[in-house]
Amino acid sequence: MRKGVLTLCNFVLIGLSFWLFFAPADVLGDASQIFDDRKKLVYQIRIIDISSGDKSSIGSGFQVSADGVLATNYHVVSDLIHEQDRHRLEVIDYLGNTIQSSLLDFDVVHDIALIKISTHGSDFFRIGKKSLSKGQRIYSIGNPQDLGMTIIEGNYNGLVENSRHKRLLFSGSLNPGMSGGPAIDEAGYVVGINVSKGGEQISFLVPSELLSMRIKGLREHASDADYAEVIQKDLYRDQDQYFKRILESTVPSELFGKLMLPGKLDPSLKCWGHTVDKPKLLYESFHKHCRTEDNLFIDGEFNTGSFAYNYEWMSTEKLNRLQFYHAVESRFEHLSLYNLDKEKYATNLSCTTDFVTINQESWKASICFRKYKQYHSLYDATLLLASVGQNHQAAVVTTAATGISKENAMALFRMFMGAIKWKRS
Amino acid sequence: METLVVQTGIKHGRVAEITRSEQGRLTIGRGFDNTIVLTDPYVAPRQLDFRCNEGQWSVDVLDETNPVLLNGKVVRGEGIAIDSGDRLTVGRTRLRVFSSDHQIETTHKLFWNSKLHADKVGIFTALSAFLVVSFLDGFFEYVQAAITSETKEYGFSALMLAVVIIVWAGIWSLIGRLLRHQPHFSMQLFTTSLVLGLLVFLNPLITYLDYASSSAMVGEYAAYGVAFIILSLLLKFNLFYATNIKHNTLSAVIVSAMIVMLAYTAVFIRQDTFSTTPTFSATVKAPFAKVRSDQTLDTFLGVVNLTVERLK
Repeated sequence: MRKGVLTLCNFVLIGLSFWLFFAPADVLGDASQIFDDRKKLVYQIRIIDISSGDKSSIGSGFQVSADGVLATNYHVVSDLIHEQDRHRLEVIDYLGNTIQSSLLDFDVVHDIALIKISTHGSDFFRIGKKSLSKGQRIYSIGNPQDLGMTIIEGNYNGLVENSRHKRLLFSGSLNPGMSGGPAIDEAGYVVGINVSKGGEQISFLVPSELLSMRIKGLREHASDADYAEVIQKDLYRDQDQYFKRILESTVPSELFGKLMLPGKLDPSLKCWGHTVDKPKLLYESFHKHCRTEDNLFIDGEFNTGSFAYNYEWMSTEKLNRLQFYHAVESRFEHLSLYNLDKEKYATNLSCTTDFVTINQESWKASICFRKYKQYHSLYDATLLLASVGQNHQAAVVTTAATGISKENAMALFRMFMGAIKWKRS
Repeated sequence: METLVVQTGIKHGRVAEITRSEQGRLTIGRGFDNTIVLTDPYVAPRQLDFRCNEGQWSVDVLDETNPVLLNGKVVRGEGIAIDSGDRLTVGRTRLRVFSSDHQIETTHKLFWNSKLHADKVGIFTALSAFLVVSFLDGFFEYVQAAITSETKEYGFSALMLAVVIIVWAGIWSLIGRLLRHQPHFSMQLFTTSLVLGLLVFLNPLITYLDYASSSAMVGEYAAYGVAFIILSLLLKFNLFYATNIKHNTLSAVIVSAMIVMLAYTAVFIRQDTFSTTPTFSATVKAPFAKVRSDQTLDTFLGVVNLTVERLK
């Protein structure tokens, strides 16, 4: 099985409710005291399915300004954003009253949403401006799996190193149900918004500075169509920044088998290598896989923003040429994309396959694209290459990027293919 | 005066029942006083009366409970002219009438009569062909596709083909036994082995066409083409030895075309309109197999660009 799949597994979204409390005091009191003191600043956010009248997703939000702006996660309100006519927003205060509310703005790239409520107090959660040091104690508050209010104690561990999108690493255990809740430092300032879990004692927060930026750069939106356009623009800008950075820097070249291939193209990529160890196999083979590990949530069945590439070197002294190329053929597959599986999101993959001479050597090359239906300037694109010029040694190169513009994908593939060179001994 | 000859119980490969007219007259019906007595309950006791007037035969329809068909058309009344070779349908019985001087059609020549006909190919030759083909299949698989030291599966592949050949030849022998009283097992085994042996050689052609054209669609259609050729050949010989169908080649071609088209339709219907797996030419072959020259990187990316622009 291929190891280099665009796996989404370690992105566990947290989407239920909680009640928050918090005291912006110089010294934090004990949890029960804070709860009593600050609970009126915390709201439950429900997205109601209009047909059935019941909730389709719940989360929480906390007041971040005196004029009644609540912060939560984009993924808590994504159902409303995608199907406005089928859903409505419901905000409930600590007493259980439903408060009139409307969606103000959202940021799909950083998983932030802002909601405006009509009835509110003047007190609000303040966003921390001081930078914390690694290891400092922070608290995350939420209602895991609807089991009731809990405070999780953990450690602040700064920004996740080498991540494509900014995330804070919280060494504590967030659980499903805590989305949208704040993480606070000991002085009571908001450090980030609870967002996802990566593993045992590995959780992620949206950094509070991104929340501040979104509040300052508030955009007004009107309708459904407008929302799709907002998402498209944000996604486009995000991928453009990322791939332009890669394309504008010098391509690092490294020896792989007898080939010179692009090395690690960006710090956000994690690379792994292994040698195939199957005693009965009559050829030798080793692999290298590089991929980004964070994806962007669009809705429950659609995510994007991944980038990966794999190399595989194969050589043999025991197989005849027919058998050896049969082995190459068994590895000649496009990277599988698992980011969407419904017709409503994208077209079918459309592929172009041919023999191409790259730096004086012959390769079989295949490139597939599929276009996003709602975000029409974005695509999923995959590249597959196998060298076909040597009798007993070959390489298979695969690349895949989701949510990429056509121009960037073409430039990326051209860069990849152009960088491949056989090393003459 | 010519004699009228009526042929009943027409069966391929068997002796037909023949009744001749006596003194320019012949009657057909369920009654025992007729020249030809039919046990068909849909025939009247006195149904047809054939007479000869000055060398010309005609028939009277004596009962119209059920229609009488002459060459597929309903006829009524008396004095209907009859020509040699006419087909009559009475009730549920079919008859043919001939004049005694009817021109008998020429003998059909046996296909490959001197080389391959039944007695020439004994069970020994058939079994040899069968064993050679089964072995070749496993050997071909091994030479082309063995990438591990595990070789058992190639023996298994040969064995599977052997089972298919034996079962297929057996079924057609049984059909031959039923329809012609002759199983011709050796011939069925021999021809089935040869045709499926041809498949062993044609199979790589499918992937080769995919490879040479860099088009998965060409490979797919090549597979249907090879299936059609193999099935046509197979059925042609199977039908030839097991039945007395006159146009066995045409029948084999039509049946094969229908089976292939059905398979294509079934695949088409079952295909999902949306798929997350790409369709592309996934065949890679050794460098010596390449016939086409390569594209330049720019030309290739130009084609990719056009393909992407066509995405709706």
